[in-house]
Amino acid sequence: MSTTGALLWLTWRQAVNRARTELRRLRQPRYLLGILAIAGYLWFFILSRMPQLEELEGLRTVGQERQAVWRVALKLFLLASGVAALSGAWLTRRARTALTLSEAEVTLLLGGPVSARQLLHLRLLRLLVRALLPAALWALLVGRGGGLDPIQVGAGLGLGAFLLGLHAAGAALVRARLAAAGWHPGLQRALPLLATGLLLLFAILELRAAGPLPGPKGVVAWWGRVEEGWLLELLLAPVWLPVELALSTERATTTWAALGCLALVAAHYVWLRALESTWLQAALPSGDGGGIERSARVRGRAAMTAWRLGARGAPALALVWKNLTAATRLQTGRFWAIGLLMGGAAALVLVGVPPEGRGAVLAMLCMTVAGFCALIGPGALRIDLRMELEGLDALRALPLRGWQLLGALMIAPAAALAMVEWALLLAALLLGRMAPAEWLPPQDAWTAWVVAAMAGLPVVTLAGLTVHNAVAVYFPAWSRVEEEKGRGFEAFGQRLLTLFGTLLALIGGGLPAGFLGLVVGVLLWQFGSGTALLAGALAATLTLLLEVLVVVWVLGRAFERLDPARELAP
Amino acid sequence: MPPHTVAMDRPAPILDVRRLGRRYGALDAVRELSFSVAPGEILGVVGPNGAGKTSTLRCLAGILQPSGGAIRICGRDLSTEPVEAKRELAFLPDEPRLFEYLSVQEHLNFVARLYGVEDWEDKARGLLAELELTGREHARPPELSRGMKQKLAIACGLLHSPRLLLLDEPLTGLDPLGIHRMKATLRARTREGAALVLSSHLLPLVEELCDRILVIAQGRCVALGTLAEIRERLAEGQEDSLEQLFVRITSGVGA
Repeated sequence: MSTTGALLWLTWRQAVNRARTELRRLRQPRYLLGILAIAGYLWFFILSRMPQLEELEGLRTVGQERQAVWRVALKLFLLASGVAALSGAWLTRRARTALTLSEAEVTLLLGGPVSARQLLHLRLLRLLVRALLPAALWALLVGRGGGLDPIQVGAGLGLGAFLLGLHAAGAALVRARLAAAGWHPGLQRALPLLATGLLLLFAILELRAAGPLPGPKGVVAWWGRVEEGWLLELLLAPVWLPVELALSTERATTTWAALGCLALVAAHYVWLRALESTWLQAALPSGDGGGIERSARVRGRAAMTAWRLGARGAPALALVWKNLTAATRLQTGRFWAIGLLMGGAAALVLVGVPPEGRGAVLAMLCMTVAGFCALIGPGALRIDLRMELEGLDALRALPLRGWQLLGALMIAPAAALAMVEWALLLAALLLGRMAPAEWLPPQDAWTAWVVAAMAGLPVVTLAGLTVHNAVAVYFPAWSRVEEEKGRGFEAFGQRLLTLFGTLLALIGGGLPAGFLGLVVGVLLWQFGSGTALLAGALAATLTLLLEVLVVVWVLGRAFERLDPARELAP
Repeated sequence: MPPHTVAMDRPAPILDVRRLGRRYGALDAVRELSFSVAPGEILGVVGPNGAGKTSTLRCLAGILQPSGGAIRICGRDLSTEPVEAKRELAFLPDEPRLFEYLSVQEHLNFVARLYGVEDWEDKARGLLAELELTGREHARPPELSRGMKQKLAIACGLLHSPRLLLLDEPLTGLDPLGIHRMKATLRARTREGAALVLSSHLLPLVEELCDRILVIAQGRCVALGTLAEIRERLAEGQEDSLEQLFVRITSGVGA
């Protein structure tokens, strides 16, 4: 068998064995129930609604306008997600990329008769498969609405994910090369930050040139004017072209986008080949004397910690300290990327707003983003049990009860997200107080809403984190944070499970809390709407907090019974 | 009277294991193991691959729940008082488990808080010097070699002066000088009254360091005692080395 044949056989066998392992896992009733829950969720919320979408598609005369709006909205969403991923690739420091080799690959392949080029091709092939499989699934889920072709959607999303993976690997290698050349880490971060900022500024100016942001009816014409320009498309080509390929309904545009995507893949391949020597150093796992992380770091310098940790006091606080320290080191780039994108989005929204109303719109925007932060943040900031599952042995040997351990692990992301939420709500409060009366509800009511949100949102965040950590406790094999596995079946299953779990938690936990809050609010209505709102929110928050504490205690018991040997067996 | 001492002259064992069992589905990895380790004693656990050594150590560390039996550490039942029992022990696995984003110093700070080690900075300085990690305080695990990571894991394990040390292949990745110092470190801990359970395939090391030896095969205890006692029982007085005895004992099991 040729070397290439052996590598392909290896890839195939690994995929088959992994599928078998996942199927074997279903012998455990919990995982079987999980799969059934996912299947039920998919059926009731998505697949059973497909005929309705097709009917909508069939009503061409009435539906065409709506389809066009849907396509523009989807395009904007995909472009924004792609730009976030693209800037994140340059702004965040990644320990692993799609090209990082496993310990076994280093020993058996790199140390064997396999050339670096063959190994690179093997990695690229795996990246392509990993990009195409979830894309096919998403194409099936979203591609049938709005008159889209599922195959085209799958190809566009798959090629987009492949290009982003290639770009992220290239960006990490460039950073590694700069670090090896002695560039200061601050400068390594500042340059992409500046480039992203300039790109966003340029995008805003381009969008502004197309006129103020219209309502839903005028959005198609507005977007048509944006697409007349070509410079923005060129600058965002790695994102723009795959999205165009996925969503275009014109044959000429589809062909042009497909050719553009292939040209970009070729360009990225040449780029990665040019960085081959850096890759051979940086792609090695850290234990083998390489590591992108390591080469991008300054030696012998003490880094900032969350705070100075004393030896006395609650031991569980050490875990909070550890994870907050991790957050400052692992999430800074992501924080800047999100901040920049949010700033860009805010600037874009403000383009069409009269100057006197900008403060009020910004206040509402801050309030909305704080709400989103509470809902989406727990899934994005994984500095809790999900981050520690690989070192479950070490956690289990710690002298802490399960509930102490889980609670402490969850406090760090909860605190980090609460700080962001409070900062946004404080900004909403101040901007709202300065806004003219006709743009916002009365001052007292606005203040009451913001203060109620300040009390409630951190607890909603904590509830969301509880759901994510519950999935990690009951389905640890699907919750591991690994770059490689982050795009696989486990990740997809975990996302659907947490989505389903969050939905259940909102209904199960939110209803009693909301009901109690409503009762308190109605009882205190005579003292004024502001007082009633605040008291109601406080009652609901405390109820939800109590529920969270009970669930954490139950999860702690389950964590103590968790069998690492059985759950995390490869 | 402290819970780990009893009346009379003989101190109570630091580790007391009764009929320990661990099952993985249909496979009995550990079966009915019973032994104890006294203060200042080193027990060597040896056995062929897959004999159940690591499963035993992971049960003793409270990582795996035993399928049966009881484990008492310093008089505390690991199943009913897990936190108190775990405070008295340190588990050092064959692969060092470290946090990639914490520096050497921060690892020790973290452990100090977990176990309430008030004078940790002085202790940490001593341990880092003892394990030749001085000057690497601000380095993070990806910047350390395999051996240095192992040394850091050892420093973390020793910082709270555990009464019981569970070591799974402790010398993996250490250089000859590191091995020499590690042996001295372990002996020093036993002189201070700590008990050690050491699992290793390096039979000369076990022979050199351990007071008693537990030989496991197919999850069962096939020999337990001092080298002289095992030799007396199995080699009929011949001066066999541990390696020769090991081959003799384990090759007969399951036949």
